[in-house]
Amino acid sequence: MQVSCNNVTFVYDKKDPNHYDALKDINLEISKGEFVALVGKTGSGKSTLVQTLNALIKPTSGYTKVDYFIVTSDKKLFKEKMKELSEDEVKKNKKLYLLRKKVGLVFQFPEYQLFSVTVLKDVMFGPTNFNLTEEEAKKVSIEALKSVGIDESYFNKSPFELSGGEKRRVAIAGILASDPDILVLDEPTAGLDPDGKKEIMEVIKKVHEKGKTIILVTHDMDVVMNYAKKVVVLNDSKLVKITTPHELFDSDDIEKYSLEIPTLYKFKKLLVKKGYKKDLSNVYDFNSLIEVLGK
Amino acid sequence: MKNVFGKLTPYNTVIHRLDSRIKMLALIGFMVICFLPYGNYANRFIILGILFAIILVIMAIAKCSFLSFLSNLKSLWFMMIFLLIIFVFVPQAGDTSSYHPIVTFPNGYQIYYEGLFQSLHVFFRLVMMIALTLILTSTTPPMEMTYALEWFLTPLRIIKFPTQVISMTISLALRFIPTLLDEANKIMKAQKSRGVDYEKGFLTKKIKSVTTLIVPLLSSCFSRSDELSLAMNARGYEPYGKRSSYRILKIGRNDIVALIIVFIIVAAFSTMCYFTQNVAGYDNFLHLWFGIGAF
Ligand SMILES: Nc1ncnc2c1ncn2[C@@H]1O[C@H](COP(=O)(O)OP(=O)(O)OP(=O)(O)O)[C@@H](O)[C@H]1O
Ligand SMILES: [Mg+2]
Repeated sequence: MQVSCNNVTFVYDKKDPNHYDALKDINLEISKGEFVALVGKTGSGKSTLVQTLNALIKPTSGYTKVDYFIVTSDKKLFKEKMKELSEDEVKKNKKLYLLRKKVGLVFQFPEYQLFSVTVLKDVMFGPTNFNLTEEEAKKVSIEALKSVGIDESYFNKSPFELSGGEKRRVAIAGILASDPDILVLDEPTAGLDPDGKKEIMEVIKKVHEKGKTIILVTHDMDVVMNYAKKVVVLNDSKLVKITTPHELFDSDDIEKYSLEIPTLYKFKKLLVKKGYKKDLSNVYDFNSLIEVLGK
Repeated sequence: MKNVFGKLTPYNTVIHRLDSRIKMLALIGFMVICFLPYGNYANRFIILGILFAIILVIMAIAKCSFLSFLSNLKSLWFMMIFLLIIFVFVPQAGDTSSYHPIVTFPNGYQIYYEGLFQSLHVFFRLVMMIALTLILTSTTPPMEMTYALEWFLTPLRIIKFPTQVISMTISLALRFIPTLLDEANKIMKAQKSRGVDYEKGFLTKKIKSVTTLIVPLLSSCFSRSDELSLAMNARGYEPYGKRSSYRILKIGRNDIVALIIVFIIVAAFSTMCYFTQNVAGYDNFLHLWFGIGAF
């Protein structure tokens, strides 16, 4: 397993008299090359969970494991886990930036992280931090910018002059340039127009096709339906379901988790409700729907 | 970080219920008597010790957490070392013939007990200042403090000083401190994901990593204040208009009692200051009465 969460529990502010678990006993496994969507209603703990993946926050109890990196604030558990690793791996565990290079995390509204004088320099910031030379960093940054559809004429502009959507792309390029093995995106399409949304998703798809693992937090069920192979549902800090998009949308308890149903599945449910008799369980896109209806 | 400003504690003690104007006046009064001279060092430490005991009693009444007081003091150790070096090792000005040397170096340079006491004295005053402000901030909501401030500034209206504008500015600034802290936290997390290490690194690297925080923070500050001012305009905010207040400050019986107590304490300490400074013999009254404390 490339990524695994083991009994992960997290509390934000232990001193707060009415604190609660933002994550409750989460167990999850993700293998290399998967495209996983993480869904759940507002405040269910999605952003919290993804931040444990690159040690921005450490589980209060339990641990997350990314390759040989162990993330936990439980010192005893950490020591125990270190015993299972080779000497080299233990050494690497001390260097957080190695983990952060491996797991690229794009935050919700990432445009606020821009700070450099030019767009290109801003994107180069990540790779240079991860010990690439100026030359190499420039090369990968130009590639990353082009892959998110930022034209060369923008490279020397100030990032503060860009539109919201353009800023978002530059910020995503800033993570892509570090060439992470696991790309984690927290609602990358929030607040974008349909075209912008589609373009960003296509970029993510391309990265996935290169063999990278994608973990995508989203409220957009159409995105889940069209891109993800596996869905993880969080509800009230707990992991309630690991399934495929098709199964999730066909099941009846989807409303329980306050998730929106994609148009196709709404239509399917409506057909059944109005008395349509044929078997619709194999319908997973509009083409297969038309096929069944036309029979 | 949040502790620096002192968090309002969720109790309802006498001190919490006091009028914020009285509390501010008391704060000023106490600070003044903290800084009055009381003769020689033995006198000063005894008298300030009494004052500190009074302050501790007030802290107990206000249910101030002693732990948060200590954690505030923790940040002072650097200051203490600095004071020690300045007062002890920098040569004393003026007449040092009556001073008590700790050591005399072969070249005639002397280190005095007086230097040590001086630095302790300043440090002691600082500790009391912190205790006093902690009492105020942990028992008074920031908004009430601005009301009090506005009230104190009212006389300035005669000379057309825009007191309402000032108090609005202050209350907005106070309101946005937690927001900015959250924002800073968010930005730091985003930059850490790009490989910034805020803890490690030498000077140049540190400066660079701080810019990655400051630039986005400032830019979001400006855009926030832009939006805020537009929103205020849209809702018809008129800085120089006559406005009523949701909360009306009213002096009650407790407030009067408190005012009298504060007055008595301030008067008592001022008298002590007068005696120790101006009446012969009293600058060393301990020596006079008990035969101790020749310093
Ligand atoms: N910095 C923080 N300090 C304290 N509590 C927090 C903090 N961040 C989040 N929380 C709390 O933790 C819980 C989970 O929050 P989280 O941000 O993970 O939700 P989410 O699933 O990402 O929601 P959304 O869909 O709105 O982004 C919430 O109840 C939230 O109030
Ligand atoms: Mg979130």
